Amino acid sequence: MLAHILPGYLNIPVESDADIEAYLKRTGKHPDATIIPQGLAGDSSSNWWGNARKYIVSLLKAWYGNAATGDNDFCFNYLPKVDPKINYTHIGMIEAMNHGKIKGLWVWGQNPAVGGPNSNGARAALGKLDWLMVADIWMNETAEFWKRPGVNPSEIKTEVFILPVACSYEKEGSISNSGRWAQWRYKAVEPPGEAMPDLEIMNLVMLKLKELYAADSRPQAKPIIDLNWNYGEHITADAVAREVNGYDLTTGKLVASFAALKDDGTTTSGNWLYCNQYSEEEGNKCARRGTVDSHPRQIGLYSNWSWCWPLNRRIIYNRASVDLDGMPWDNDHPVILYNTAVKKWEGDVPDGGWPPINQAEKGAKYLPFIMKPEGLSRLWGYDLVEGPVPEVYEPWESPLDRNLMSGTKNNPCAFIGAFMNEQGEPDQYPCVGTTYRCTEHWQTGIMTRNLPWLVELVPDMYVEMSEELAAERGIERGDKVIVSTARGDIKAVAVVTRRFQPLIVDGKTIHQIGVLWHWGYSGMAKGDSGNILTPHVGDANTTIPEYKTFLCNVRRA
Amino acid sequence: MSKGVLYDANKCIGCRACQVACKQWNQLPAEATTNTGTLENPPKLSASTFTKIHFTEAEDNGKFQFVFTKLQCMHCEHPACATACPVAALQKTKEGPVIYDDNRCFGCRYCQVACPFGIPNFEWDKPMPWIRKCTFCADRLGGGLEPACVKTCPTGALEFGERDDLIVIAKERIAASPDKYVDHIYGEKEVGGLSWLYLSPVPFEELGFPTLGTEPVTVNAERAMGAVPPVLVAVAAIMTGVYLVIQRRQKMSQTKENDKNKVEVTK
Repeated sequence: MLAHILPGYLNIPVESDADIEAYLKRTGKHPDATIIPQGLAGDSSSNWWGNARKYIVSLLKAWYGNAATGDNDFCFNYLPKVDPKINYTHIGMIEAMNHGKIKGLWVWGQNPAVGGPNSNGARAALGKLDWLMVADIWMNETAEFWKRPGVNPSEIKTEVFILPVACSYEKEGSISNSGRWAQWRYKAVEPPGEAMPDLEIMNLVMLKLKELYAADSRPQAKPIIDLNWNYGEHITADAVAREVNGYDLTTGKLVASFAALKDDGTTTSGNWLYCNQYSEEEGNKCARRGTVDSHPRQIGLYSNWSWCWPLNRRIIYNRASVDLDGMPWDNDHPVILYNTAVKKWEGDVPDGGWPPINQAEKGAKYLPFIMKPEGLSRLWGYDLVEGPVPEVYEPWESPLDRNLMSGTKNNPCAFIGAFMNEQGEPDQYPCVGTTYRCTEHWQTGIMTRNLPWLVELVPDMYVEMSEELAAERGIERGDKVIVSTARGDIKAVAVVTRRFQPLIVDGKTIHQIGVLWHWGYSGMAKGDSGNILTPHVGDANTTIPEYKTFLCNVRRA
Repeated sequence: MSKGVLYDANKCIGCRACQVACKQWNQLPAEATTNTGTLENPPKLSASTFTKIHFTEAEDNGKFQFVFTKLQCMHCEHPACATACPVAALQKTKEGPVIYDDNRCFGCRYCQVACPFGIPNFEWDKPMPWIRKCTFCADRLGGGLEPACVKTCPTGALEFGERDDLIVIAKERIAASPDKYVDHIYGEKEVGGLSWLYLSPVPFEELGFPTLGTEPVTVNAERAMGAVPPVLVAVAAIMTGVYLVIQRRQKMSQTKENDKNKVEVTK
């Protein structure tokens, strides 16, 4: 996940990035990348990524402290560099484990034996590791993969370390949501037994690593020796929050905003987008609990509740919500609006404080999409590998023999796994399977399959199908069934429902099977994992797994 | 003024947070359940399940939809259980809840027979069994709080307030969207009125609600008391025995099933 970036959407460096300058040029995060669009009312692009040098230098100063200087390019070459030809995402990682390229794995609060696609392949891959560390609040399937049903533990050589960690109510820290808020949570109770907050575990591991490498003179030891790690024996989330915000090293004070970050090594910031979340005056803004909507038109922003990156801007690209005079397109729900009398924006924090295009000076009429070099949104996605225009493709496993929309059946750029990733054919697997969740269980079920009240609500692994398909296969509601794909079989309870209907595609009747995926062999409520069925296939740009469609068949167990 | 709750099936999403909140507040144990081919569980109300959401796949003018219903004690305005109870262990309070007093109950279970909704449950597996049912969170109401299920409902499908006000709200909702609701507030008049009121997009009989008159159900407790108590005692003893045997069988078959699953899980 997010293997392509460092904190703050700064790209991960590649092997050919000899220095920061080359890195910024290659990634287009350089003032030179600015494109001034022609023939538009707006005549300027802020190309905010042109500031990226300040952000990468401040990040390196946060990580390597005094060791990072202008003379050594702020330790840029301490950063791990990737090979652009290798896929480093979850699917790529499992494949690499299977090919013996990865010897050890840290798994924090994840459960790849259930959560990733092609669970049988993922479980086999774990067995190829020399060692595996699993940190979770419950014993999970990844931690217990070596004694899963059907395998002989004595044949698995992987050494497994299990670290019990505190759950969110047993530690202090922030939680970020998909609306970009960072909300502070306090500790309600002490963690049980030996469980510790993951932050403290990381601190102890890092302190030990520094001790082990202290006398090492090899160049590869330098990033560990020089790492700025000064939290003491007991790390606090508060200290990390301040460090993420960043400091002005000349004054020793917290930086007020990313606008104050510099590229000369006089500022630090663990994530430029989080600058402003902690201030000298207001303290930790993530802990704010203001319940008044201070927006002049009360559209429900509640900007004084927690803090939102960047700069507490609740809705990004909000200058696209107004016309050239700064008047909102939607007058009932204005995000921002320009007060011409006092020449000020009102409402949300504007995405760039410049006046609206019609009121700005020539040459300073800034376009709203500030993170794009041309300042515009894109319908023509020239940086998508199978772009620039969207295309409909059939999934890797499809009941059709051709693409009804165009001449090319499958996405030519999709990532197709090579290990234990058999492809099924529609004559043997005529149904289309799709995976999804139920309300009562969460992800791989580790946090919910151990709670009796939730197990009572949804005790067993089940699949859903239409009355028509059930009738064809002689399946009654509540029967145990076996759903099979080319990669594996699972057993489940059949929920036969009119909510599922056969599809008529190209004159053919195609049945769908809905597969839940929260179950596994660990915990209180056990069952087969839906992801035993899903293929090791990833989207062409992000390698997000193709969980939602595959070929399968169903029969009575 | 008497409190009530308005349940709006058009707002319920069937998340069942109310079921969990009820167990949490009342400290009720989880039941050992299995999936029998529906998304509903536990299968019925019991001494350890005071409320549950019932799922119906209903058709309305050719439009197929999932309709949810919340089951629990209706807290009747004129409760048959209280009328049937010979020792006044069940009583209707002026605040709304029909409350139950362990110290008075002597286990005759007339309330179970009397209730038109089949709500009171008996703790068959306890040596000193009591009647158990939804309390309307009388303990929370006394402290100025809404019931636990209402508090947790994320969609506003449950609304707590003065019963009279809720009837007005319900009528307004029906009037505002006559195409979305049947013109019937279940509980407004049934058996003399219920503290729990219901709105639905489909007729209530399709959701399994009993069709009841507007007259309160009355049972002559004294006459019932006079009728062959030794038989009742014997029936109770036999039924407890049968229950225990069934429980034991279920547990054993459950264990067998689990063992079978263990072997087959990785095929």
